Amino acid sequence: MSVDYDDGVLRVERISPPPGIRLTGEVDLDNCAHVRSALDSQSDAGPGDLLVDVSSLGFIDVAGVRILVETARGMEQGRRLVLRRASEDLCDLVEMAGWDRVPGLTVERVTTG
Amino acid sequence: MNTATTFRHDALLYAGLDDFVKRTAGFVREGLVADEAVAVAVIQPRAGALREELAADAAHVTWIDMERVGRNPARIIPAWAQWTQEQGTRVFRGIGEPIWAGRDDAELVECRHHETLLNLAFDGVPWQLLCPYDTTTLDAGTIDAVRHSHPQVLHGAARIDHPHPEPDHFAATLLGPALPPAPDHAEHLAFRSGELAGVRALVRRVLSDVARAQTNHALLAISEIAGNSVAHGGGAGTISLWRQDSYLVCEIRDAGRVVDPLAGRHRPTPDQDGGRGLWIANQICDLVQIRSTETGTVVRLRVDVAS
Repeated sequence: MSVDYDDGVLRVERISPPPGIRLTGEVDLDNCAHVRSALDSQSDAGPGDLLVDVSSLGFIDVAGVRILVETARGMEQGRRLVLRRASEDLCDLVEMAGWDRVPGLTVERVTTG
Repeated sequence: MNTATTFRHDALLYAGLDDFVKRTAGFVREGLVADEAVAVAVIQPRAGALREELAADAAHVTWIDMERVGRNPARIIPAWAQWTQEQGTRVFRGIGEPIWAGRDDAELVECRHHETLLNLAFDGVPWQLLCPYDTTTLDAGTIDAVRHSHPQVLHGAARIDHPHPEPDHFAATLLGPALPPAPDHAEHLAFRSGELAGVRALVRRVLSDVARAQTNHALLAISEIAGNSVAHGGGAGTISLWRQDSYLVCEIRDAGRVVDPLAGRHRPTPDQDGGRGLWIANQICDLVQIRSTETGTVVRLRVDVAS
């Protein structure tokens, strides 16, 4: 694991295996470019799914989700971008934004209790 | 034959619950007899009373919970758009009651805008929408305003024709009326690109006593509008926040311009680039008021943070 970016609001770490990133804190229009660059570097790391651990994500806006959607769309046939342990708020946002059926994007809802 | 060949948007002025049931049941049955799809979006007790009157026929009607959908009147057009698109080649008609006794002044202003914008949203779409107004509980000003948005007003046995709303009327929904000023206890913060985290910190401070779920909803809606200021509104904005009864009210000003009167009322498609901020604000908030001129835009959001 290595820290890719940390500004006190958002920390982006590269994780593997499987290759992916962990987001801690808050993603917004101001800092989402750092999420994109970390995803871009990890998507070349292997042939399988790309994982985004969002269990420690406190906030994400549409600009942040757009980065995830665009990355998922840009992946080769058969590969997925998997959002692991997504909060109810994140699932709701993906649906409200009209991105709940994007090919290549899998949202795994966090299980509580 | 009463089949609409273009959008027919009628107001029905009725007097009390019994008159409502009598007039609307006739409209519903006329549609069902002609094998039209029929949807009814009204609040209680009128939904229950109409269901009872329709008896077995009620099962052939789509019932839309206007209290939930129409809490923010900007959600009503997308709900009708979705239902009408689902009907395919079938002829359809609906009853929609956006205005009821108990709506406050700010809601009534936006409900009037909604009634005007229906004519734009469904221009050329052949269906009938009947909007019931209770003359026994709504004030005279509200009843009088009906003629500005409905080309036909049905009152008793009379049918009164009025001019169709025109593009100027649609554009005017973005111009006014002016919003009442923020109260003295409002908190203000200027922000620019790179400072959205500071906007969220202010929201969290103002909502320090509020449950996390409500705070998160407010944070998302406000962030999207503040993000619009950064991306499209000249790169900066000013936020004002205050509590009002059970609501958080948030106003964001910037130098941008909104030109589409239906902004925030188009359900986003997966492939569209932008246009999600106001849509999401409308889904979360109880009221969204947009005022936009060549000198700038103000978006005022109202979110119930108690429930």
